[in-house]
Amino acid sequence: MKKNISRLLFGIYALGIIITNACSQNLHSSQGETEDYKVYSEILLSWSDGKGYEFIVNKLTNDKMIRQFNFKNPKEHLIDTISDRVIYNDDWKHFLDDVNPSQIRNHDLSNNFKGGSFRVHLSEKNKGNTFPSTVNYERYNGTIFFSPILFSEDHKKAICTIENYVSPENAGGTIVFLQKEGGKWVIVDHITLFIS
Amino acid sequence: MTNIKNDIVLFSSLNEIIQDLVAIDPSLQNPFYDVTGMINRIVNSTTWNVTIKEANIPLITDASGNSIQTNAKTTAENGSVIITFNDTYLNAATDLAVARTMIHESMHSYFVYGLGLPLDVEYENFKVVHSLLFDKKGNPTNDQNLAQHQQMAIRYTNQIAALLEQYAVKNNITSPVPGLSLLDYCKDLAWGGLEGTKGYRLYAPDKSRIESNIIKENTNDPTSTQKKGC
Repeated sequence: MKKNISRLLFGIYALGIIITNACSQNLHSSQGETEDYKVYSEILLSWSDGKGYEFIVNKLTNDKMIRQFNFKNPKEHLIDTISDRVIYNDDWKHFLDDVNPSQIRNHDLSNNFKGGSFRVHLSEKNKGNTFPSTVNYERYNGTIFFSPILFSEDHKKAICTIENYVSPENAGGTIVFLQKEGGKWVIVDHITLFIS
Repeated sequence: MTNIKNDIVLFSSLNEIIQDLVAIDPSLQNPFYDVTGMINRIVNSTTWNVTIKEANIPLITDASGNSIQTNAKTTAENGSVIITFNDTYLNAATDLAVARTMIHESMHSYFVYGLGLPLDVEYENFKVVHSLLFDKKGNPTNDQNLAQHQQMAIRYTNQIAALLEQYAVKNNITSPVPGLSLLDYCKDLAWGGLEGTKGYRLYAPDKSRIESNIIKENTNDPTSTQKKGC
C-alpha cells in the first residue's frame, strides 16, 4: 500500500515536472512576442492594409528620423487644421516633452521578430534585397526601416517611426503614435514626415 | 506662390520647367480630376504655400550595404509644403525626368494640402475622388506613401503622360526609342515612382521597358532624351 502511494506521489511529481517544462517551453517559444514586437507588428499590420504581406525589414533600427522630430513643437511638421490630434492632448504633451532625442540608440531587431506571426525577412549582409537595380516589383513592397520605440513611463503610450523605400520616387516616412487599449497596442495617430 | 517664384528664380531650370507646365494649360481646370488643375491650384493659390528647393538628400544604406537614393521629397514644415529636389538627381537626370518628378511631387503637395484641410469646403469632394487616401472609417490611411502612389497609379498616369508629352513638344524633345511614340514614351515615364503599387502590377504594360526607360532618363543615358538644363 505504502509502495503504491509512493509510486502515485512520484507519478504526480513527474507529471508536474513535465507540465512545468512544457509551460517554460511555451514561454520560451514565444520569445518574439515582446512589447517591441507587439508595437512593430501592429504597425506592419496597418501598413499592409491588414492583409499581412511579407516584409523586408532592415535588421538595424534607424534613429535619424525620430531624432529629427521636434518633440517640443510637433506642430512644426504639420500644415493641417485637424484639432483632435494626440499631440494636443495633455498626457501626450507631457510624454513628448520628456523625450530626449540624444538618448535614442539604434539596436538589432533580430530578437524582436523571432517567433512572431509575421513573415518578416530581416535585411542583412549578403542575404538582403538587391535594391534598386534588380528589384522585381511584382513581389517587392519596399524595405522598411523602423526606429527604436519610445515608451512612456507607464508603458501605455509608444512612439516609433517607420520609413519604407520602394523606389527613388516611392518612399515615405511616418511617425506613429500608439496607445495600449485593453492590453493591445492601437495606432491612435500618425504624422507623415516625408513622401517622395 | 511668392515662395515658389523666389525659389525657382534661384534654380532657373526648375523655374522653366514649372512655368512650362503651367503654361501648357493656364486655365484653372477642375483640380479634383485633373493633374494640370492640381498644379495650377498649387501655383496660383493665395493660401497654399508650396516652396521648391534643391538640397542634398543623404543616401540611406540598408543592412545589406545597398544604398537607396531618393530623387525628391515632399514635406510639411512650419505651415508650408516643401518640395526638395535631390541635387544628385538634378545633376544626373534629363529635363524630361525632372519634369516628371516635378509633376509627381506637385501631386503629393496637392494631396498633403487636401488631406490637411478637413474644414475646407472642397474636402468632401476631395475625399470622394481620392478615396484611396482614406480608410473604411473615412480617416486618412496611416501609410500615405502607399495610398498616394496607388491613387496616382489608378487614376492619373495617362494625365501625367499627356502633360509630360506637351512639355516635351514645347521643348523640342522627341522620343529616343525608335518605333515608340513620344506619348507612349511619356506613358512609360509616368509610371516612375509608382512601381510596387497594385495599379502598376495590374495596368503597366511592358514593365521591363518602363523600368529601363525610367532609369535611362534618371541618369541621362546616351539612349535617353539627353536634354539637360538642370
